[in-house]
Amino acid sequence: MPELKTKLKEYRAKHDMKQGELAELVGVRRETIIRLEKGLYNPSLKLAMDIAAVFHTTVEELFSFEE
Amino acid sequence: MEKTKKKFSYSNFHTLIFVTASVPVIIYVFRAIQGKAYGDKLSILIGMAIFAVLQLFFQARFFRLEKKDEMVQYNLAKANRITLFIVLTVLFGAVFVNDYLFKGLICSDFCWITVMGAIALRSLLFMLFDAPTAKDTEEE
Repeated sequence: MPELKTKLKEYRAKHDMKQGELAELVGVRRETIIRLEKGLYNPSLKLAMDIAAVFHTTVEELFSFEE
Repeated sequence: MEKTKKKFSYSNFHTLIFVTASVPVIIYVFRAIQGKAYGDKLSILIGMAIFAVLQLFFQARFFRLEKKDEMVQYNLAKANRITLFIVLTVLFGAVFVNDYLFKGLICSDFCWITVMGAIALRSLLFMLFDAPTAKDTEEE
């Protein structure tokens, strides 16, 4: 089964943003951001697009699936 | 008033639901084992109702239930699915046991214990799925 890989932590560090701040911006809990960064949760398309919009990048740049 | 309220997490909420649902079952089991007449079902239900009302009052007054985001819905759906399978298995199993092994198993006590057990199980499963690790609680 393909595994979700994210560059969320990298982008957060680049924008000097904490998990809680990102969670607040996209309207989710901090726990959701934690699980996303660990690849333990697949976000909905809307959430993925909202996060990409926060970092002014694309969904494909932030999230990828690897075998 | 909204700004002064503390955030009340879904995990905390389901912990309370689990306790509320499982305490009557535990009391009933202890009563059955000990053979003492520890009140009747009505007093258990009244006690539960009082506890639930008090909990809702204090929760509304001092806490603000956190946002139900998509991961909460996902974990709740997982918990619901597992609970449904278990309840169906228990019910079908009870039919066979009642017909061939232990007549009288399916009674009013069996029904309410199954319901309360399902409510407690659902909340317990949600707590397990949603619980953050110790490292996760550190802000990054």
